Amino acid sequence: MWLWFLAPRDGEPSLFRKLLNAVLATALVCGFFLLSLNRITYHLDFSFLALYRFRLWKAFLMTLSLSAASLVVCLLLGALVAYAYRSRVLMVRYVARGYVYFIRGTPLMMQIYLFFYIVGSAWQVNDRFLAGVLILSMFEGAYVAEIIRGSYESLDKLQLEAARAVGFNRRQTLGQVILPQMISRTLPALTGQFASIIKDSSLLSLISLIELTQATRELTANHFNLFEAYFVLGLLYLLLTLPVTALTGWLEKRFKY
Amino acid sequence: MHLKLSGVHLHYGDHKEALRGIDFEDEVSTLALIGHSGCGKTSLLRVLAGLLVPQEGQVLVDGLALPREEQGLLAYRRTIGIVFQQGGLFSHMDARTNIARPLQLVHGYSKKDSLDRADDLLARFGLYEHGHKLPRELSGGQYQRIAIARAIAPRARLLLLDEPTSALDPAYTGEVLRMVEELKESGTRFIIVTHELSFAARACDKVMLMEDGKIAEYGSSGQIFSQPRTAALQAFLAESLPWAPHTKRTL
Repeated sequence: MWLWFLAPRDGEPSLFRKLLNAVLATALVCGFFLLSLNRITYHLDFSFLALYRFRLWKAFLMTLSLSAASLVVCLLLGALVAYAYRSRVLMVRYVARGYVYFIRGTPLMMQIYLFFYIVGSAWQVNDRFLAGVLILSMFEGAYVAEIIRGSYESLDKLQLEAARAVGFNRRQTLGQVILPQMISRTLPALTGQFASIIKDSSLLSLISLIELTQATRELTANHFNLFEAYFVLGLLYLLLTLPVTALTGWLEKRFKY
Repeated sequence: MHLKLSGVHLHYGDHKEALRGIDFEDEVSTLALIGHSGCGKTSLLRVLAGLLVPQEGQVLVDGLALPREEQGLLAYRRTIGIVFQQGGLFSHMDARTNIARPLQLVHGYSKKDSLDRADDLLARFGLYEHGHKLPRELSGGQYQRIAIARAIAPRARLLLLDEPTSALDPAYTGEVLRMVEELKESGTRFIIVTHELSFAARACDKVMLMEDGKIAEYGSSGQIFSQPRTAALQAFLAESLPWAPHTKRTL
């Protein structure tokens, strides 16, 4: 009987066993939260959703576009900084290093205030969306740069020598050997990073961008359905992050070697 | 193939000299480079492969000096085949693509022709069924044979092998060396760095012993193994082939 709850020592558990345990695990977690609600005699009420569906939808799109734009910009920035690490111009190298140390060593919240209210005001970046994308990309770009640098350094130097031996020129070596191998090495780490972008975009509510978190915060100021509102917020973030994780898992298999 | 080296010196960075004045001239078709680890034989092979540029001296292959700048070396490397001790196959490409892709991108084959050529070679060496495998899925022997097939695929005028069996289990050494002998019979010229002295004696016309970055002794394989002239060669053979009758080893 208790064997139903264990994975076999070798190989996959049967489909029945997997389903049974997945359902039980879900019931356990849900049960805990329902019990918690019950203890504070809280009555679930999702009626506000109908009222706010349009605002939530707009906020959802805002989070999506903030994240998508930041994804593109931070990848470009990260690649550029990783390249700058190896520049022969020492100043370029130090700027790249200083940037990464600073961004990785300070909280995003502080960076948002610093860049938006001081740098942004000084240089008249008045478009909040643009400012949000730039700040978020600055932040994530530092992590992306480290991921790209690490994967380049972990390339087997013999592979580069083999590329020289078969007569590949620099462009062919990059396209045939370095990039394909780096892509499959960086994808796992980048998945985590892309999911982080989506989550970190919530802090952009600090500069009054009406994205999901800010919309939810406003909503709960009028209605006091805190639990329901944040529960829905969580679901909406999962709706964004889970496909990213799934996609990257697929890409990882596709590029595995 | 006519090889001429004059006053070749090579050092890595500020460290010790790997080649300390190589002077050599001969007609070479199959040559074995032998010697202890660190004697400079791999460095010499890499110079001949156009992978390393000696700081001093000149290398002439069929009367033409090896270029010193990367663009010229690239063109030179495209005329020869190189096999490394290990890890030479592109690990993200299957065996067939490893052979075909350089043909297509470097030697101007159409995609179809390059794949046909890869399949021909795989079939010729009994590797056809392994064509779709990634390098990590191959046995050590299959790996090196596919590396050799890739090196000769563009009809290289010279094959350079850097200890192709040193990283292999003894069981695989035979199959790799047999392939090299087969290639010799069909007219492939090669230079091999090897510790397999019986292979050098059997399959190579000429043998060169290196010691301390210099050529210690050079001759036909018959002479090298039956009438070693220098003390260096006698000592090397005594250590490497303690059972051989001609070595003056006192127990």
